[in-house]
Amino acid sequence: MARLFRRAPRQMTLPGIAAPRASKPGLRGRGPIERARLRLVTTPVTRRRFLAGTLGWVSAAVAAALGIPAAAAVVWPSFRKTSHGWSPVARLGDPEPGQPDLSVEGTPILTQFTSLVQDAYLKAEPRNTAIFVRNDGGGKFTVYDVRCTHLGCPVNYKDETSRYYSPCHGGVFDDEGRVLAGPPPRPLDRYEYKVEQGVLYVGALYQVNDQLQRIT
Amino acid sequence: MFARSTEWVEERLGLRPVAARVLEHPVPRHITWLHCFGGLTFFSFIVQVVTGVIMTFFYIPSPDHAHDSVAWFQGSVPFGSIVRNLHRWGAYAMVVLVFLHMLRVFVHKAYRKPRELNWVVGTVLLMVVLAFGFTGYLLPWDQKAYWATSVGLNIAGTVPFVGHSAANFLRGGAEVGALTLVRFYALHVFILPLVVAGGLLLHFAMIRKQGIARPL
Repeated sequence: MARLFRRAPRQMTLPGIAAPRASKPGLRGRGPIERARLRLVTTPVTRRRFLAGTLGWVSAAVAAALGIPAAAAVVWPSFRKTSHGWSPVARLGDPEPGQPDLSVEGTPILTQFTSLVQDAYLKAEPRNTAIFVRNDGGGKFTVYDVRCTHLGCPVNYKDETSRYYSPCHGGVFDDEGRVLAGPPPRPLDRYEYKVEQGVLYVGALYQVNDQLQRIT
Repeated sequence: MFARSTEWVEERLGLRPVAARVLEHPVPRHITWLHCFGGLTFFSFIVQVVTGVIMTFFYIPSPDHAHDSVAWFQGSVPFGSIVRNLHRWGAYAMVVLVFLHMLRVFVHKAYRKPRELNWVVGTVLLMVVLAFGFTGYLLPWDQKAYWATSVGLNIAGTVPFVGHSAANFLRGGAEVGALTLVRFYALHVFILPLVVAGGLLLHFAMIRKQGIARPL
């Protein structure tokens, strides 16, 4: 095998080929543009070299014309954003059947909202998303995402300690969602909310920093 | 830096003579532009491979989603319509070019001894190209695709003795349906590409070994 690869090339007898020189003096230690310029002025432009260069550049153009749309088409969906719009959670004070009663203040309630999700080519489908809703009194609410900010395991709330616990890697959050222990990098994510005509709606998901200020 | 890394590889593998033998292969003086059709067919094949691979990132071979996934790719993904239409027009171009290539070989009597085997392989490749066209036509799963495939398979069914069984095998039953779609997808995306790659290797190896036919 090695013998096959090491065989010397058959000598070409086409006109206009200068014997390739192993290294050019004075090319080292210069910038790429200067090197290219030197190579251009020191090497004669033979017909063969011109054709090889033209072929190379045309091939590169064709590859770009084919490759750029192809790569862009595949890469683009990576940056899609999901938008839920506003989804109702419950009628306050007078919940309809199946809706949670959010009248108790201070205690997070595990519930869910249903939103129409259009995922790429799939028809828009209702999808349930779990949330913790806490009535803060005075018409204020805090809506927590149930997913731990470490790797996304759903957290549990324990009334006895007023803390959220992740079942996976020991992440613990206080009742405001701040990290008390474990690997989570930031407090529990939250949802925007609004109250319209006595109904609580949730909107976009956002992240908060350690001071519970919104950062996304 | 680039030159140094190519030297590093060259020192270990000694590929430069091999590349020279492949790329600097002298072509006989008598070839004309008509001899380009084979290479152009291969170029259109490369375009089909690139655009086809891109579309496998989006296409679902299921009656539920095939049409929606194609429509979404074409309508919502940037460059999606360019990639898909390159595939579609490239397919037409490939069929036309492969016919012109065959016509050129036929008119130049280039199929004669010692090149009979390459003519046979070329004929198989022609059939594979047409099979690519037939199987690919079903995949968008619209009315035109459905009826074209129904009629095409009925035509196949008229072949004496084996036609009925062959058509049923391709159809995956008596009616065009979900299994037909997956079968055509498997043929189009896995089996035919392997066959065509093997055929092209033989085709190119033989032309390299035997050289281009003498002029008339």
